[in-house]
Amino acid sequence: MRKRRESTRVDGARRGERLLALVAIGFLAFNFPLLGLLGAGGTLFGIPAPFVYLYVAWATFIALVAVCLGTGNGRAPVSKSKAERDA
Amino acid sequence: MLSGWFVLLVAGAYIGLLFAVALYARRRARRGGSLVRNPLVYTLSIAVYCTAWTFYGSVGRSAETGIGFLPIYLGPTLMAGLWWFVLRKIIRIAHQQHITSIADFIGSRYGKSALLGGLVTVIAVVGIMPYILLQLKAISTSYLVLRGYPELLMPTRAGAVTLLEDTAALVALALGIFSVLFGARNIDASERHEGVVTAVAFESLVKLMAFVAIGIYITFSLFDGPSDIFSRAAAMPDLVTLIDPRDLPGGWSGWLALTLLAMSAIVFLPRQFQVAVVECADERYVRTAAWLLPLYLLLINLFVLPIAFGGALLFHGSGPPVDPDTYVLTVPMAAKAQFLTLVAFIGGFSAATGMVIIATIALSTMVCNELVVPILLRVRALGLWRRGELGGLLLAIRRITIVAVLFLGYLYFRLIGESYALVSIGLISFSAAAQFAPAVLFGIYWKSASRAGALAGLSAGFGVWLYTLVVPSFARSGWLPWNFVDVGPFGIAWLRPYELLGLSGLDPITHSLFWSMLANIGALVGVSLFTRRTAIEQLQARLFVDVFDDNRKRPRVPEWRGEVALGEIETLLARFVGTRRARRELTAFAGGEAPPASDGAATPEIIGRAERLLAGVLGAASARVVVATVVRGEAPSVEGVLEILDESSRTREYSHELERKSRQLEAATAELRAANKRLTELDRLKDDFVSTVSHELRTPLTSIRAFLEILKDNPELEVAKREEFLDIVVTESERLTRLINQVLDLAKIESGWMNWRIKMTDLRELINHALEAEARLFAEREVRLLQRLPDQPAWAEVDPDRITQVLINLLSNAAKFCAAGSGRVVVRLEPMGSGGYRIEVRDNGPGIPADQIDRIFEKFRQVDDEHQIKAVGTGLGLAIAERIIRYHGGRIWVSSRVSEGTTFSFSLPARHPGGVDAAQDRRRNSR
Repeated sequence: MRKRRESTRVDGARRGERLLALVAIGFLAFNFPLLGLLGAGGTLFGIPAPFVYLYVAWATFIALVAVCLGTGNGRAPVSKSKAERDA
Repeated sequence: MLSGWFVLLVAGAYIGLLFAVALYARRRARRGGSLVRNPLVYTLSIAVYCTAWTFYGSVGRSAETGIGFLPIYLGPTLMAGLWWFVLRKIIRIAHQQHITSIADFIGSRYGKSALLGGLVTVIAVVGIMPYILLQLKAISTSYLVLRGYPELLMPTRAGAVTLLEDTAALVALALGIFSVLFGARNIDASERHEGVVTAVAFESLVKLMAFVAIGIYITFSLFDGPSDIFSRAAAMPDLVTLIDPRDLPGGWSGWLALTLLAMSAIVFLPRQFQVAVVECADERYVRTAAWLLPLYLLLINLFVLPIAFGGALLFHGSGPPVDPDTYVLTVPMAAKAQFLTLVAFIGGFSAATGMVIIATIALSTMVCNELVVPILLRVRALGLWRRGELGGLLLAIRRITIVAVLFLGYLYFRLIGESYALVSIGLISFSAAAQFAPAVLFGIYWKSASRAGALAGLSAGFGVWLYTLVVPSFARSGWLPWNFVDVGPFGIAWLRPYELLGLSGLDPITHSLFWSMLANIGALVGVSLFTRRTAIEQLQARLFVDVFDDNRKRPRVPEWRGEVALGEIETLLARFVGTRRARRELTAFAGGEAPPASDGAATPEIIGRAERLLAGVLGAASARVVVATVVRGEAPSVEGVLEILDESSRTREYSHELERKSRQLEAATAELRAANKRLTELDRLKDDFVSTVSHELRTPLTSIRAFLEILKDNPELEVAKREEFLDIVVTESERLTRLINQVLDLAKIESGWMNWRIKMTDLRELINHALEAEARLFAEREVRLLQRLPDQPAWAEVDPDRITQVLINLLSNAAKFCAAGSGRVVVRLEPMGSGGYRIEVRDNGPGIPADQIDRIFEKFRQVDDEHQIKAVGTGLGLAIAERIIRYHGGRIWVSSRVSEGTTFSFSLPARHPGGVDAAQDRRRNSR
């Protein structure tokens, strides 16, 4: 029991580091000057390149966050009631 | 078909649907099948972030700035990545402290300060009220636009409609009823509003589907997909400039400021705090929401650009100008798509109502708990806390505030709705909510952040916000001379609200964010560094910052030290939550089946629990005041608590240290004891050895002396006799020499002074050598000697002399114990799997009794028997053999069965275990 608790704590720390790195990268990717690199230049599938870049980068970021946090067990069958939580 | 009445009917039906959803959710929750216990519903409820501003305004902003609307959604996406740290921590704290709103959170963090909670509430009301207005305005505008169907008429003034047709008023009324019914049912404001949250989640679904449907229709039905729209737009010069991100108005700094604003807004807007923290059923849902909410934002923004560009293309140069803010509605209208027009209206309607409902509930909770109740509490003349049940009164107050907030919003809308620059209202509200961010974030990560610091920071930030954003908007509305903004108040240029201290080149939002954050954070940190925190501030800071610390490690500290009877606590609780619930909670606190006797003293723990329960009703600051009215003795002695905390943490450290030391000590003692035991044993063995050796030496010496004396005393002894005696003397002398040699050998081996001459040797040769040496003995005793040796040479690194000595010892032992005539000894050499060899000497003698077999390799240990063999052996042979074999890295052992025979075996590795070091080690071991 104790061992499991510790291992989840280690996983948590690791997950935290990855998330922080990801957010830092996202912050750079969604801001200038990187954002201005493409200029108005060119189209992709008929859509202006800056638009494609933003939406693809956005979707990628979401996917990576999802991977980092794991699809895991966000759904708790029965959560603790408030009273129990305080106990 | 889309007459005004029909649209009103649809809107009414939609609100009816909301009631049904909320009612259903509440019924289900009561039966235990809660709908909000679901990460999906949680995420959808946070999507209340997307208001009418998103639904209509994104397209409008996009038509003017291209991608300029995106930071409002990229910010939350980035923030969601940090939720795992920030939001989870806030939720954990809020649940532990029964937090009811963001004002309560901040007030509670800084020493349960009523003043701070009140300040936050004022900022929220001033900052958010216009935002509610914006939603009412959006509903009204969309209705007016729709009423003109199929003509595209831009509404001019809201005042032009009759009161009955004033949708804003009707909607405000309906939402008021909804919020009162579902938002203020339960006296405990920290409990979840199942109905409201489910209804809002449902609304998030509606607006998403509506917007995506409109987007698909415009993109793929009116146009030939996005590439068609963008290629046509590329031909129009005023649309081309919207594509390049470098042409954004506001530039880099504006983009960055919007991103940061949106990052804080997604958590710190009061309504976001309400759904994401207060209404959160389980902090684990954050894990899902952190990626699902950004996905929602991505989806709802997917068609913004096509709709904006498509709308601009459609309305280009045709008829009167159409406000881009209405494209979502007017484009389907222009295409005469009745149904989709209605869908767009419903989508916008749902976006607006969802926001209004949550914002109203959040604001009214704050106003009630942080403004009204503390004021009532302080007006002693009312004697409020000496009266009977107060739960009903509180609920009434909360309901009245809900209606008041909505009415105020509506009034605001009627008064200034048209003059206010609506587009910027949303961002102005975001900027107001951003003022909460430092107080919350520093509060949960920095223990030294103090109440005075938070007060200073919030006031400074709020002041700058008012001056740089609100004052100019008043000027814009004509209530102040525009000169005030342009030239500066009283002509003082460096006080110009948009260019404070001469800082120019930034757009108003960025400019305001920079100065307000500078003032806010600067004052918060600066003042915190130079103020002493009171005890309760320190205590709350600890509880907030260290919320993730293991509960078991945290010492249980009594927060209250005064005295109060349990009955009084029960009466107090009953006033606010009703007699039945009070009784139930007290029973739960006591952890037993029956409630404890009411005249017994309440433990500090129960008082603390009662305070937290009341905090969920009244807010932390008021709950503290109320509990203090019944607890006698010096009110809560937080200083004492802190002392205990400090002391106990020091004591804990000290005792950990002590424990560690005593464990070390124990280990050392055990080692010493073992060493001592071994020394004593060795000492005893040495004594034994000395006495045994002396004894063994004396026996042959005695007999030698005896025979020599006989010879000396009887010179005329006959020759035969004399020779016999001399033989005995020689034999005994030999035995003596042998004994002394063996003792010396043993001593050398044990002290490590033995000279070993290890070399590669064929073990077969050694065996043959030993057999030859012992052949005479075997012949004398008529014992048959057999050998089983392999054909190949058996090479091993050994000291040949010593191994021969071992072999001879074993062989002579075997010969001695075998019966003459029938005796039989077999010597066997076999390779072992591990690369070494095993040598075996087997006899068919009497065997060794099981109880002696273990000790056979001890010094001077001989098998007691009647064979009078003792005369022949010294009792040292096997002990020496054992040490020799051990030195070679092998092992010697014996197996025996009484009356069947004995087998001595030893193993030898092919390679001697190493050089000098290993030899040293072995020496030490063998000592």
